Amino acid sequence: MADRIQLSEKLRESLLDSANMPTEISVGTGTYTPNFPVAAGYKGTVWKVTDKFGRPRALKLAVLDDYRERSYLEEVRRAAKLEQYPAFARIDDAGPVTLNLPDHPEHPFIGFVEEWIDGDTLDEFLKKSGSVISPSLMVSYVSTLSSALSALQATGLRHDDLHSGNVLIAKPPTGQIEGEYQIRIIDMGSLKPAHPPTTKPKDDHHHFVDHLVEIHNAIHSKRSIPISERRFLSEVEKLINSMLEEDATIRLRDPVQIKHQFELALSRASTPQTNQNSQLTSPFEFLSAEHIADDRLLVDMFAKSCPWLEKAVRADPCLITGPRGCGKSTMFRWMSLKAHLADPVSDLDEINLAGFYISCATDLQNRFDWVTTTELAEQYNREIIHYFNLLLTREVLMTLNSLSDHEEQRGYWGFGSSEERALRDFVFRHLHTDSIFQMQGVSLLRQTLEVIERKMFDCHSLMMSGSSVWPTLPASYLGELTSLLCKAMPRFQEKKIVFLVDDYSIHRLPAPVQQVLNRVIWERRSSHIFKLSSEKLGAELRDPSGTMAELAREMVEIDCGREYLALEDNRKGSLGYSFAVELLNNRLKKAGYSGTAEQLIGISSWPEGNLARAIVSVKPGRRDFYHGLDCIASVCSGDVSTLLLIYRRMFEAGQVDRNTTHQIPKNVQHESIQAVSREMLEAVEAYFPKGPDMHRVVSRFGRLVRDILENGREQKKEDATVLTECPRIEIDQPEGSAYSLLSDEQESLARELVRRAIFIEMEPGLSRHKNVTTLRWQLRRVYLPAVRASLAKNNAVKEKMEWFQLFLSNPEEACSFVFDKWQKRKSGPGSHPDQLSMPGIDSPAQER
Amino acid sequence: MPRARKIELSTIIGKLPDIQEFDLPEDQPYGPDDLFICTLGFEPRCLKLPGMLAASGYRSERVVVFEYDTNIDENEVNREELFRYLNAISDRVIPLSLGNPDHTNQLRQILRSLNLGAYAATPRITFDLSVAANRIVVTTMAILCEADADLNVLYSEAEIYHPTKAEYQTEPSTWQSESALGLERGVGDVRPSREFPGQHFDQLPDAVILFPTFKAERSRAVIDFVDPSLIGTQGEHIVWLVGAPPLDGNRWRTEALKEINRLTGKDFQREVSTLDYKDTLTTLESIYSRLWDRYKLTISPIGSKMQALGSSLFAYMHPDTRIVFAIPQEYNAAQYSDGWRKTWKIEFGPLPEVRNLLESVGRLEVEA
Repeated sequence: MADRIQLSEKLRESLLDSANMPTEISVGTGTYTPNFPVAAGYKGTVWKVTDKFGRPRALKLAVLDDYRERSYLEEVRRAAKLEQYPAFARIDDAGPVTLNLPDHPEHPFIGFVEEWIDGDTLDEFLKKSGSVISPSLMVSYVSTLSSALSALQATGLRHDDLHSGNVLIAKPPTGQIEGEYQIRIIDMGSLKPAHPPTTKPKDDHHHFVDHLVEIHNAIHSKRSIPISERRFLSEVEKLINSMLEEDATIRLRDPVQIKHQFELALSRASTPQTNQNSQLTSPFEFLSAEHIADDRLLVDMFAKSCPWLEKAVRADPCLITGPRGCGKSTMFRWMSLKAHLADPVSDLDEINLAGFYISCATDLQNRFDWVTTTELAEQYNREIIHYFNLLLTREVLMTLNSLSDHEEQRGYWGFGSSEERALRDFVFRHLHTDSIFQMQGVSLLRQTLEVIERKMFDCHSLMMSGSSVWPTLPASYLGELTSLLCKAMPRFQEKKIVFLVDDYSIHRLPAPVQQVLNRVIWERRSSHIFKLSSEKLGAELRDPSGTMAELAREMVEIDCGREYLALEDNRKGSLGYSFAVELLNNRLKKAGYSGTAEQLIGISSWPEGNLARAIVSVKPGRRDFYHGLDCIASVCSGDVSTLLLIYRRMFEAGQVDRNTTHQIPKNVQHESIQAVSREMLEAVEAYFPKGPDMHRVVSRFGRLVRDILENGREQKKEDATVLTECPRIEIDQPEGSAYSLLSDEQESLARELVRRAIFIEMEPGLSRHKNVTTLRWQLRRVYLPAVRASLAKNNAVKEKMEWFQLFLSNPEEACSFVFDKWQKRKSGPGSHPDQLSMPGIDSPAQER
Repeated sequence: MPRARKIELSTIIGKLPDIQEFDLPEDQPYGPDDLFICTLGFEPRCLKLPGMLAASGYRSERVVVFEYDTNIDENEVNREELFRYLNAISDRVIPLSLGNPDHTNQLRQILRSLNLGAYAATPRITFDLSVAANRIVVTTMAILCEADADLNVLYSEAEIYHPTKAEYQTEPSTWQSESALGLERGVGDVRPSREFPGQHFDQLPDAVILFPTFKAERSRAVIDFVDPSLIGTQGEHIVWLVGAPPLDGNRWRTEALKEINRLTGKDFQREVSTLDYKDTLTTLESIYSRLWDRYKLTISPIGSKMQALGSSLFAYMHPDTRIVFAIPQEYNAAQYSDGWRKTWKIEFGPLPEVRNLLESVGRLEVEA
């Protein structure tokens, strides 16, 4: 085998020594002044030189032996074919060069003068700029290299030395407006005809694959990357293997296809894997909004008859309170612009808001849960606000990015390239990142999004290490962002920008963190408002100085539980019924079921007249009084997920399938409702904190409600008498808030019972006997079937503060006290013996 | 033809050190170290390794001792003796209170100060996690993983873990009931790890990986914290990793754990060694590879200390995974563990190499 043609070590060293270079080197028709050596390979070295006009050029001095059997002019002519393709460096001149070097007098070389490109080779760039390597950079890279490979194919050439040192990431010239980094291929002196194929271990395609593997690994090594980037890496792995496929008939080798497939991969990775046709496989898939990743599906399933929808969508700040599963998250996500944009048939004229949704239950909680003291919150207050601003900006950008694929919607919102640029400039200016890396061929919005995500990770890691972040986005930043959006895209003046912050509860975000964030939330701006959701008593609406108190009062509270209970008080029960029916019908439709809610469940009807009478006069063995849509709607006092759970249980027990249209038997409905109710009651014990204490309270009070129903004296209502239904407690508050008179232990239990919506705290009432307010608690209705109580309310346990204290400390004694003095029916208990013993409820052994 | 191959955990796991029995032969002195980390607890084994090391003449430039904010009185029982050993080991004993929410940064600062000096040799650290709560194990390992140091982990196994089989079988309810003290009582707090918060930006459902304990309420509190609607549900989104002790005599505990946590054949469950941290690592990896792109993942490592150690290395490898702790209100100091049996060592060596190994998982290599 012939010796490899290459520079000797000594000659290479000599060529790289500036002292050995003449002041001028003539190549072809030009004369060049050497500046400094740039690189050295097996067969030559590269110098930066200057031509006679002072223009920088790259001079490659190649071993003459490599040209004994071919002419350098062939390579120059081949390179000339590629001049029209911008990815390739241009060869300006070429010719023999003779240099006098120590130990190598009159040594001949072939010189190639190439366009000088200021930049880093791919491998240098990946080492130096790891943090900016992103999926969009990779797609941009694939696009350029695919175009270059396509150009080579079209001209019948191969580069033949396309290793990562021969690809430059070229910086934009200083001062160029909208300057972008460009990918350029250099060392055009090795060009060969495409046929015959190379004899080297790797052809251009396989070098390209190597580059992609290096970029993949650079993204992977960042570690702190969002799931969209992880999904992208997973897609890339498959594409790379497809590019290396052994079977040529299925190998991904066509540059056009490669480019297309990587673009598709980026697009797929941006959104979670969803059911492509946004259908449900079963009506009860995704019982909770948190489980639905597909925005379109969420919009399709949303029941617009939700009784408190109208209040929630008003263009005013509001605080929606209620427990998990009450529909807050679904409502907020439905109000988000991103969800509506995901629905191709959504009528955007119907919505009056442009919502941007974030959930504190996920990212914010994980980042700031440890900031539990005012001192820590103050120490990191700039970083907390900065992170919050970044998170909301990310959501705005993600939403606008979802417009990208919809020309019609871009037109509707007036979102074009100039708006995109304005937004990018605004964000970069505030982040002081004017020199941020921007890549050719990638949307400005996507690059801005990647910068935001990087800044979020940076912020968190700096906080973790106890360091400060600089610069930070101030509390006024969001106002400026939304002002810009309103100015650049006037549609936002028409549709109020709303930041929808879900689960803004102390349980998720410590009070000191909320107090810091309130500076952003309460910043009064005409260009946006905030809507918050939280558990009851969960939001800390003050700021440390108390200066926001007035603004906090402007925030209207919508208590989901109260809204449902108030329907009954205001004789608007039909609204709850409509919601319960629509909720199920939307799901049945999405799952392709033939039956409807009305057909499968039907209305509630009792021969005794109503549910309470049915329960009390029940005959042995009869188990069918909890049934029908009216009854199910009444069970719901804000628990959307519970409603769905009941439906699901009924469908399972009733063996309902896609083709079923007959009604589920009443006894099956009854068993299902009671089973879910019992499970909900049992689940209380697992709640943290105070689960066992709360379970004790709710079990005992539930039993009291049932005992009064069964044994209490009937009360007059117009011309008739009705059974007493009293799932409510009313406590006079002669000295202001009842909470202030509780011990710490009692107060924390009381707050937890309300926070978890085990009891729903109604608007304070007015005592009948004294001119004082009353604390009014109503038991969440879903627990009532477990204790075989009715669902309505026509009376209340009206007691004093001392009783309430006893109730929280010793519910058994407090409830016995009430029952003992309650006026009983003369006829005595009208119930069947099996009503008297409810496992887990009545058995003293089960009580703690 | 070449293929692109992803580096899997299975490729590198053999390069991570195994847990091995630790002894102190007279002719092989241990140390010296730049930092020794341990915990003041109420279990007798709290004293085992510090005592052994002090007796052998082991020295460390500094000692960090974590102090709990629970069972404070019970822990005091071991204070005097532990500090006597620690003072023999080092002239600089630094207590770190877990009650201080910023104690993790204090530890970081101490670690940074070990690297001061242009010509300083790589610092050597020994972490005795015998009585460290799992949140200490996870947090400390997370912080150590950031450091350029050589690390040895030491562990003293208890002679008896309560309940014993006899204790459990005599009165199972004492150990199962939530109101009874058993090994511990109540849940004092549930919180995500500051060091491993995950990357949960996007709208995906939650999945929880739990290492159940003898108190079902701790696992339930974690599920409730993550998503209350998952309580009582079964499916791939709730994975139970039930501890399997290495000693045959303790195997009954695996079944007891399943019983207490009411696990049935319908629950997604795997048995995982309580001693071999690599088993935790590989098991978590196999679960992760199925779930990572469809769920926001949360791990609750409230099982054994070695499971917690494996979980922390796993979370370092996959920073998109969140770790959540459920901290009991109080532990039963009178009946937690007795005595000590074997002592163990994991010789991690240079942490930058451990980091490189863990970070390499998921990289692509082109094979010829």
